[in-house]
Amino acid sequence: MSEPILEMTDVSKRYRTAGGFGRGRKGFLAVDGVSLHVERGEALGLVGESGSGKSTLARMANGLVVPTSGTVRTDGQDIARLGRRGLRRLRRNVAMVFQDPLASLNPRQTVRQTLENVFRAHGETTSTAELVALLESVGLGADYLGRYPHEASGGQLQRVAVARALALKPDLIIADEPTSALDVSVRAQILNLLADLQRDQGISFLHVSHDLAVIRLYSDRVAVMQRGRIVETGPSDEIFRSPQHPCTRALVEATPEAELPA
Amino acid sequence: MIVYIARRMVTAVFMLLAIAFVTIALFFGASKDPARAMCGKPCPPETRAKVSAYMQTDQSAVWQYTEFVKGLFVGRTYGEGAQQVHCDAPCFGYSFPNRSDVTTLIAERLPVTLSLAFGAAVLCLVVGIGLGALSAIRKGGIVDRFSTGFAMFGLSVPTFLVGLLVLQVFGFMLNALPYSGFVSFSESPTDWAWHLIGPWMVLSFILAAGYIRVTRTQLLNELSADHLVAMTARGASTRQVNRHAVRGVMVPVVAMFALDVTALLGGSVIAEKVFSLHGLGDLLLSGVNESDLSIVVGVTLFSAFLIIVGNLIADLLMPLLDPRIRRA
Repeated sequence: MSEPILEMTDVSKRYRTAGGFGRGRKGFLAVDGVSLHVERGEALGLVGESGSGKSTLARMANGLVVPTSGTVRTDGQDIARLGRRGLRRLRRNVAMVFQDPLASLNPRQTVRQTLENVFRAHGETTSTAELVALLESVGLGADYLGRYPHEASGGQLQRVAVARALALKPDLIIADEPTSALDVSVRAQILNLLADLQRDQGISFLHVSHDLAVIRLYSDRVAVMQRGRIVETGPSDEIFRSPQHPCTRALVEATPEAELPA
Repeated sequence: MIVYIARRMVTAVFMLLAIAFVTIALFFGASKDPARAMCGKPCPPETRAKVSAYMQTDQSAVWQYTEFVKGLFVGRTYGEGAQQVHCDAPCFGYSFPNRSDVTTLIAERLPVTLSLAFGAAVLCLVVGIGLGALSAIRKGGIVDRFSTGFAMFGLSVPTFLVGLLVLQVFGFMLNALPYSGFVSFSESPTDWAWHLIGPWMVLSFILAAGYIRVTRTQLLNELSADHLVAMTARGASTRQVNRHAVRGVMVPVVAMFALDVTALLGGSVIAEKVFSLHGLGDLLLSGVNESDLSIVVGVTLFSAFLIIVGNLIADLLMPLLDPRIRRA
């Protein structure tokens, strides 16, 4: 088997807190010695309650957050050794989809400009045909090119955000709670879109969510986080059927059946 | 676009006419007789009545207003025979204490005010945006702490105090700057700047405070904005990201600047007084002191006009900076 697309070994992140208040002068340990990997073509779901360090962990995968200790190898490269340019090159191959599409898209730019920026960031040019094809791959029409974020709905915007991630054909997409800001009705659409991308284009996913139901359906494997540590990992169905750790059990029990999209 | 500008200009004309009416009404409400200042000492009631009739200040506010509006189109004539004075259309009024029509007076004073406004505007933009941006980039650093204090001081200290301090320190104590007077730019650009440095410092210090705050807050907001994090996450360089952040900062700064510049162009009463500059602010003040209706109305209308134009320009610039603000 080839090298994993993402491999984290014993990574920790300590945030310094202001003053010597509450958590003490040591700061707050958001991620505490975590190791995980994502195989090529695999979708790994990362679940946990809010504040468990999921987002911090996900952001270390593309260098948005620098780990306090441990090593992160993404796409075969040690992130700590990449310079500024190296990181930029890496991010061509590792894209990210954020929670709130309205916030993650520049309100002063049309969809076209937002997409073009990705190409520009890597010194490439693009054509209208290419952009239209990109939009079509996420189920949007060419008329969206000229729209501003406030002229589209949340679900449509998240599709645009996915299109931005898909530009320049990445190998790994980090999706940080990509559906939690969306209406339940459009959630399934976005999740299906991501699942299709994984299946058809072989893109690997690191899918962060607090919703185990979502993770179960759209991930091959699941890692459960609690207070900065991974407490349980395993294939999705197994975790869901027989959760071992009390935290996982609580999450499973908190999952309403009704929310599962058939 | 052109229709939009035309519509705004038509509204502006009505607005100015309304402002003229309010100014005249308020002036006559102040129960001060303009004739008294002009009739000299001693001033017997008959002379005063005659002067009053000559200056046409014996009439009601409504009459004044209609005469004023008429004067705009056909000009205005005061008195008869040898003492007749004529003010050509468009006549904004005639100032008897100055023996000149208001348009000429404003034109005379304008270079001073213009010079003052120009330097103060440039200086406050450079200092305000510069310090604001630096404090946002190094939040909590030395520059940030200094400029936050600086802005606090600028916002809370009155202009006259800053003016007097600058005069005292740079003018009298250090003998570094002239403490009054104005040299026109065409005469000697260096002397011109030299005489204006003091008032420029005072005005820009007061004004810069606002820009420091707005730039700092806005840039901090922008730099932590999700869409810029998203750009970084997709591989954009710091420079590309910063360019987008700057655009977000420009919107409120331009809006603020348009208002500040027009206010400056309308004359800065206090700064002009402190540095004995004879600009529009000084003209307005003398008009008020001498109960000179024509000057008060003229300068007020001129400032109002500038503010309206300034707002219009700002409104036209906004959609260029932020495409969300599109034609109404």
